[in-house]
Amino acid sequence: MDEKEREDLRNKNIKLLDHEYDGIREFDQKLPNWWLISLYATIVFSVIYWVVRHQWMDGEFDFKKLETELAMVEEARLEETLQMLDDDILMAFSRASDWTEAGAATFTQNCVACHGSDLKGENLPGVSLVDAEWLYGNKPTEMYGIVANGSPDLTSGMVAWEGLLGPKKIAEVVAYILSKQE
Amino acid sequence: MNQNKVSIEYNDTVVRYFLVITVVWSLVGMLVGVLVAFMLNFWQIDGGLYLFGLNIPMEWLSFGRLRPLHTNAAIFAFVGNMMFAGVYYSTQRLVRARLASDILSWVHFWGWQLIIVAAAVTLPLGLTRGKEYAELIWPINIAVVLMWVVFAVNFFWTLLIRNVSTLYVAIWFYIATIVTVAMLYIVNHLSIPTSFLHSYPVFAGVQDALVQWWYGHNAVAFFLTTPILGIMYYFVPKAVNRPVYSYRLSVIHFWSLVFIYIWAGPHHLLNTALPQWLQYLGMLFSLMLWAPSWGGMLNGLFTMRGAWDKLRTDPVVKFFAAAITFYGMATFEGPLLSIKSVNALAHYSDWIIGHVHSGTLGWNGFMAAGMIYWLVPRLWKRPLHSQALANFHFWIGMIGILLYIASMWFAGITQGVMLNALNESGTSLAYANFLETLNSIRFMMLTRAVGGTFYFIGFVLMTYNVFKTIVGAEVQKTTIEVEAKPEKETMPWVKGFINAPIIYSTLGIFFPCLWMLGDGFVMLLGMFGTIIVVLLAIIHFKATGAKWNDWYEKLLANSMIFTVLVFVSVAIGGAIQIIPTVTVNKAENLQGRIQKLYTPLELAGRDIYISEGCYNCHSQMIRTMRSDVIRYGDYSRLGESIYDHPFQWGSRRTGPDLAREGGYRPNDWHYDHFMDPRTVSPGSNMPAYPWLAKKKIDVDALPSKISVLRTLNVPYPEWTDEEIFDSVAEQAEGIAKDLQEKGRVLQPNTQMTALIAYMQKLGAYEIRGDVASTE
Repeated sequence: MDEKEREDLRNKNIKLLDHEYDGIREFDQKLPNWWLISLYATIVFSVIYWVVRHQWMDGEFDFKKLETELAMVEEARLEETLQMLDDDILMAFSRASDWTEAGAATFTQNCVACHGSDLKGENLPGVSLVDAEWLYGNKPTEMYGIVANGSPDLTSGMVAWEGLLGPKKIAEVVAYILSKQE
Repeated sequence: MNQNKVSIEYNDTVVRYFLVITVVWSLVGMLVGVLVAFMLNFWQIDGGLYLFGLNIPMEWLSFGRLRPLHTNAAIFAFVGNMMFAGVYYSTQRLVRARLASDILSWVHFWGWQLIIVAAAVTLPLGLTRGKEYAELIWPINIAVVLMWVVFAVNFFWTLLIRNVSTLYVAIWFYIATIVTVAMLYIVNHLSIPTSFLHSYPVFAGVQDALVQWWYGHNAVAFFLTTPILGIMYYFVPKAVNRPVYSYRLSVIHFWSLVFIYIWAGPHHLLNTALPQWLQYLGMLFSLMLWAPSWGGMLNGLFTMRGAWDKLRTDPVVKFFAAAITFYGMATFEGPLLSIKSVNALAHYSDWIIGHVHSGTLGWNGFMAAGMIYWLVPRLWKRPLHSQALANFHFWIGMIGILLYIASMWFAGITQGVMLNALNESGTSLAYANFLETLNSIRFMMLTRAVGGTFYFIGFVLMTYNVFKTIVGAEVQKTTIEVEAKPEKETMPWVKGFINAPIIYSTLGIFFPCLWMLGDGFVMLLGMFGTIIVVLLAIIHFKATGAKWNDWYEKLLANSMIFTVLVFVSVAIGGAIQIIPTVTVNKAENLQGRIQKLYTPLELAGRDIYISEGCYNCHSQMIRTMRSDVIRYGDYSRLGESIYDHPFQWGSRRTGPDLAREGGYRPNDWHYDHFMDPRTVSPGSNMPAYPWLAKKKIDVDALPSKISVLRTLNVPYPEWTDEEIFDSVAEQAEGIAKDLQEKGRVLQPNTQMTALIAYMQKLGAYEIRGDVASTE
């Protein structure tokens, strides 16, 4: 340090401490403002984040958010599958017990009134779903179409179920009916 | 001669020894680093030599075994010895006293080198505890603790016989280092031996994960940062011959750094199954760590202000200026990576590797180089052999670091983005094949290896330069005359603890803890308490701040009280995070699932997995992220690793996650994969493990292992040895038979059988409630 610098420091009121350790001296400069601000800012941010995320929101927030996302993925995947529904997929569903069981439940609630719990439709408005006769085609996708959109014969009483049941439940019902074929 | 004057001869001989051995170990640590970096690109040199028509498997030459050797050598051998040289040199001068005991100094030196040699032998042999930077086996752990105690006694004894009244800031950092590393090392190495060479850690699953990263993160803090900051506070003002920029900043950044650092460990476990409150603490304390870290950088860089002309001419100043700049960069990057959403991209990727190396190559390595170039001419009383060569070292090292860091940024971000990328509907992966993402960063990995080689060459040049300087030099003694035992303002212990700053600090920690962790009334009490304490402290300080300064001045004259306060500061964070997780009812740590116990054969397989260092490339933790779940399966629950001593959540995915590997592929796929990964996974960089098909399972070790696990509350039944052996034989026969049906011949008593059994068990769990409580 030269004399000019010492002068400079005196003018700026910067203190050189009396300590000396093996020739090392220390200034006692004020803490830079931007540094102090960043220190305080991170502390304030942390307090706010903690209060909002930990104390106001759910402690299981991340897990629940993920579960919601995964449920959406599941739904979207199904949507994709249903969009490319073909006979093979429906036939495969008819061999999967979770699909046929779900289909049976839907069938019991909505279809037995016309088609009967044995699917034969005896003495009921509906046609038999277990005989060899198919009015509008026997392919699984054709059956799906009838359930979804109703019978072309508007007098038959078979209405469109798509809006009521949605594609998944219809596919389940079709799987159930397919599983009941001889 | 004045009655009060005494003549003191510094013990510089031991410093010279530590300095020379630092240079030697730097070469070893970096050479192994370069080797493992190239292995990632060339499987032909990983686990053997498969070049030029050669086909020689060598089990000790595999990435999983050598990567721990690289990290341990770089941390404990290179930086460790550099730290001891710097601490011993500067402390003697800062307190005007010779090192208290020559015997302890020599025991410390030789003991530490023996530990390193033992590590260099055991790690390639596959003897490991399986926890990162804590791999060394238990007999070596005990030796490390003993040597650390020798170091501590020698150091604190020197402080007690000092001939200055107060302690300089460098000494504060050394004290923090010694106290905290002891605490971290002991807790994270608590184990129960099963044999002379093997032990199981006492913690398992999430507890082990927390303890490990409390240790791992703070090994970076208190082994690679605080001692080097202390060294900076001595050697930088010396090298530029300038006063330190700000004493006030030293005080504030020292105490905030040592207090806050400890809490940040859980940022290594973000988005995992770790309870959320711990993840938040890890992230927030990392953010709050930014300013305290930069306080150190400012004090270093601003001390150089006014001496920038030396930057052009003096390689020492160049190294110091660059090192401190890298310190600032790494400590900005750290908080950034700790933000949960950034971490979702960067965790398990090469970005983390780059981040670590901007700290180790940039900060540690360059501080070491600067210190060595400054010390060598002074310790041997000879000018450095070649300034030009030292300058060249600086530039080639700098290019090496930049290549290293830049390539790891690109690699980490590229692979992270690819691994997390989903198709438009968000239901499937954009890059379903893991190897596609790995092979897209091959060039970056190669660039890293080249960068590392440049850096290594720099240290080779330094070695030559140091050798040429010291060879034939006549060693001279450094003797000084000091005033013996100056008046020290002793302070009674009570006054050390009962005074305004301590009381405010204590309440200022106590009330926010109530606020953070309490409910209802306790939370409100904490909130209002915090506000009142902060206001009171500010008012009180404005009124009587000078008294606080006086007290601190007195504290600096009382090294033992100072040390106790440091210990309390560093102990709080760990205690609040770890103790509840270890002691509170374990059921809360299960998340509805409990791991199925490993059979004896599977347990043997797990120990082989650990021994081969598979955790260096494979995680067992599917994070709470959509892309992780789609890629690897249902996200991991805490209960699914509750019996894992040690946990294997991993830290880097050079290969895919294995948490749900069990039952996913047939046995013969695993057999083919272990014999030569590329037959079933084209493009893989995993080494082949043909020796596993030859080496026998150490069945005799199993009863002792199972008995230790039972002691650790893993609910194994009281099997007799015969039952264990029969169980192993039966399960192994089954796997061998299955392989035989597929046309593979494998003896049932080989290690590969055990490893396949373990692979097939990964991810097996029961719903909690179906199993009896283990408490």
